[in-house]
Amino acid sequence: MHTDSERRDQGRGERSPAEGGCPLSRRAFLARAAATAGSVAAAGRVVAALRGEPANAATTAGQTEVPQWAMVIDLGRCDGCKECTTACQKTHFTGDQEWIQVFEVTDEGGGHYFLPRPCMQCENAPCLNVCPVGATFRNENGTVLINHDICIGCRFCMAACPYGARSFNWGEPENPPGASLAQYTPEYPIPHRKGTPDKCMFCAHDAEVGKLPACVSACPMSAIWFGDLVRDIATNGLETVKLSWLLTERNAYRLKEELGTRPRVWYLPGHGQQSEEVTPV
Amino acid sequence: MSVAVEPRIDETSADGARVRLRERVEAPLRSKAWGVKGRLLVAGLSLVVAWGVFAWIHQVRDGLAVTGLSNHVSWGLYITNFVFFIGISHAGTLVSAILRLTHAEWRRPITRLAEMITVVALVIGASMVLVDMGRPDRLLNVLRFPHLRSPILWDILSISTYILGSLIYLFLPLVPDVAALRDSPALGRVRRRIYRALSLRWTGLPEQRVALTRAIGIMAVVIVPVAVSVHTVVSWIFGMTLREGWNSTIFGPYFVVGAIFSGIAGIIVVMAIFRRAYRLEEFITEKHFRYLGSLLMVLGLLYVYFTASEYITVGYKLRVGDDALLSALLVGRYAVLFWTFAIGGTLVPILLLAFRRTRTVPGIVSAAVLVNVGMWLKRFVIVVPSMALPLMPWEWGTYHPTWVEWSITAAAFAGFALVFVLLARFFPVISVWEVEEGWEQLEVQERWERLEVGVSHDGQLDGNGHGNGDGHPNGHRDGHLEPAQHADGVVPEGPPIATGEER
Amino acid sequence: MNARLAAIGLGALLAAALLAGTAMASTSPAAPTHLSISAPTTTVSGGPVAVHVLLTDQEGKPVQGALIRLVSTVTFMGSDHDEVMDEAQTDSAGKAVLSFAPADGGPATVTARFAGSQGLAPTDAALSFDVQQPVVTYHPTPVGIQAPWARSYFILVPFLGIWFTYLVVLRQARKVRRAGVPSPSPQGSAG
Repeated sequence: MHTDSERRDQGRGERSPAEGGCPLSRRAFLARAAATAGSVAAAGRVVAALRGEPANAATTAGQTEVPQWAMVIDLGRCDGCKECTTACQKTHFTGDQEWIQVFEVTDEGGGHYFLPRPCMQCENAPCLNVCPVGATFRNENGTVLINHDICIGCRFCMAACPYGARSFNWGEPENPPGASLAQYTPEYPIPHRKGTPDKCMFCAHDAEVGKLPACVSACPMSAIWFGDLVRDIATNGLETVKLSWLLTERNAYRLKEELGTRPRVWYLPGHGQQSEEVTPV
Repeated sequence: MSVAVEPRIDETSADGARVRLRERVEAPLRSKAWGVKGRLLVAGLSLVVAWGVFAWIHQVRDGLAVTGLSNHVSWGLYITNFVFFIGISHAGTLVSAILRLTHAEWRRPITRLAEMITVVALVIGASMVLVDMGRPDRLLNVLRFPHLRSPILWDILSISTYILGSLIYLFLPLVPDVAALRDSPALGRVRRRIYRALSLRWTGLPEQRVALTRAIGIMAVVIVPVAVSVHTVVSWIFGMTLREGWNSTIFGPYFVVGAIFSGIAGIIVVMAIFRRAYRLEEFITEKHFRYLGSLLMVLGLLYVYFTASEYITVGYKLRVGDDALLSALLVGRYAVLFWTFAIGGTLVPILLLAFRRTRTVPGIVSAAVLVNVGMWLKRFVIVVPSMALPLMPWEWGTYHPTWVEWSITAAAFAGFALVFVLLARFFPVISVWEVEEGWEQLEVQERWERLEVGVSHDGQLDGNGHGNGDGHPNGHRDGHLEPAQHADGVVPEGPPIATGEER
Repeated sequence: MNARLAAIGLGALLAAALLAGTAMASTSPAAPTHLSISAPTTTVSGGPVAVHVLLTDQEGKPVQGALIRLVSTVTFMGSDHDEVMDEAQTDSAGKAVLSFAPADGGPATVTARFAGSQGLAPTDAALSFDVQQPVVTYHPTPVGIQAPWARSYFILVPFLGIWFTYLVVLRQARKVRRAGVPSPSPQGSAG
């Protein structure tokens, strides 16, 4: 399956491993991985059947060395400044799309706080299940990525996401000048494609070279923690703690837990009370 | 010498009905049949379709940004149309297959129309999905990279199986009819050649009849579960998501009932149109409308039951999200659409069909039109509010379809009508041989009954069955005892092929 | 007037004394403390190791209620971090037990850190470990109901059955055609 864009990429050459590139042509690998994931039977979803296929399992046995990214957002520190949104938009040239969207919430008790919502990278992702061509897939880190080469733009994933985390390129997307020369990969989906969706991907392009996601680095309140479930570690740029400690001691919860999507984004309860105390870095 | 004047008149009327049937059904197929009105109609419909194609090209060029869709409401009119047309396509299955399996004789004049509706509606419905895609250039990816866990893939499997099955199911009963037409001198040469190719060299031989009957019988059995599966998987496009309003377990049967409901209404409307246009009142009679009307009413009550069941259980519990959706549907921003569907699209038609005073042909046809409009609104009310409701702490989304979407919707309906008109000008709209087969079987039955009662067969009428509405010619043509034998003792073929006397 | 002058002078003196007092308090050197660290074993073999710390002041008296943090230097996301492994407060004996459960193998140095409080100076103590087998805390649960015999392509089976039936039907249609008399010209009545 050599598409035009595959041929174009191979003519341009790959990023060398020294630059953080992968020896394999990423597009070819991912296209084949997606195709295999689509037809590999180990993940049946016949009614009341298995759901433990590699595409949607947390990890498979023996993969515990590979980091499983998770995010923890401290609602006590978020002050609604939307620096995270802006940084993500700048990094990924998303135009008006907000891949991490900050909501202003008034809860039932009358409390008022801000809630940033990235893509939840669900372990049981509805968007992954319903994609007719398997364009939405999980990489080895558990991050849900989109292969914009095979997506047909049916928007079933957007209908299925209970968190509204996806944005669609309704028209020709605003790609920065020179974007067409960039080597597209699902980890860094530049140039954006018309008629396909986009979403937060935990900055997979940065994570694989050991850089924190843009929102984590940009948050002046250090309210967003980025962590690895396997090594039980999380950092917000200032402090580094055990992830499990953060989740248990700080009473972390997940959004819409009852839906069974098993998101990888936790929230520490709060109402911005520490946003006054913590001095922005 | 018992053949008196009276039987001869019966003979004439028996033959007369047959002749009239042939004539009325074949007349529209001649090229001379294109009158001014016909040409204007086709021109008008083609214009609407062309405008819709123009709108679609505009959309392909500028992207779906030209529609009223947004990240909040990412499915709208196109998916509504898709579900609506796939629903209408259940007409053919119900009438043709189920009534054939239950030996309901009154189905015979309307099976062809029903089968045509299915094929055309499926094609139009599938095209609506193509229109909705963000990357229609990548359509083949569903075949190259199938992800069998997706309800859309199940949809593709099911609908393609159904289209294939419906085409076969339309084609098989067509064989004897086009065989009768292939030698008609009034039709063009090209057309006759096509008929000859399609007719499978049908000459009414017993082996052919056996094979054809068996084939149709198998298809009738197989197509029913296929049709049920089609709208079930279409419903699961919504039912397999976690959105309020869609996250319901009854969507499978709910949609199937809704599809059959709107399908029957579709047949009634199409039946009424062709009955008037081709002057088929003698063959598609008030009885047909009443029977289909009763079916429509029963399915309407079933649909009301399912709808009430859905909303009452949701409304009793009022989970977060469900309460906002229900209030929007019943008293809020979508209340007008919802109640128009509920009252105008279900309640009024059921009442029209329930009372004898309104159960006339105009009454039944009005009920069917109301049902179709109501069901389109209901599909809209299923798709859009659940998309617009807030999943996170944001406002309700809004959806205002643009001219592109309305144009393509209009083109879908015009395209349906256009393809149907062209199809009806190419193939007979009544399955002539099946109607004649029904007459013969009735004839035979009457003869046997008369024998059992001991009435001498001197050609007298038994005084019943006169004008019972299915065009049965009273009396019989010859005095033989054996069922359906001609005077020369040869077992006759099914539909009589071209002979001089039947021109 | 004398009384007023005296009052002002007294007030100024008091203020100066207060200021001096606070100044002295803030700049007074914190009392040195001593933190001792020990562990039953310096080899980690898949399970957490208890690290015992004892915080005493300059007189050797135990310090109670002090927050001790156990950190380990790890490399994460491209830079070195001092990861907080555990934290606890010292009891009345000045002791605290902290848990060291490293996720990385190889040599590791843990540092018990007292950040300083109550006029006590911050202090830390380090201990080296050899992590032969890291502690695994992540046990992923598979998604869904475990039915390994089920495959997603089972859904094709009924459709294959239906398509096969179509073939049977079309074969019947071929029988119809074969039974007919092949001829280029229109037929008369076969009866």
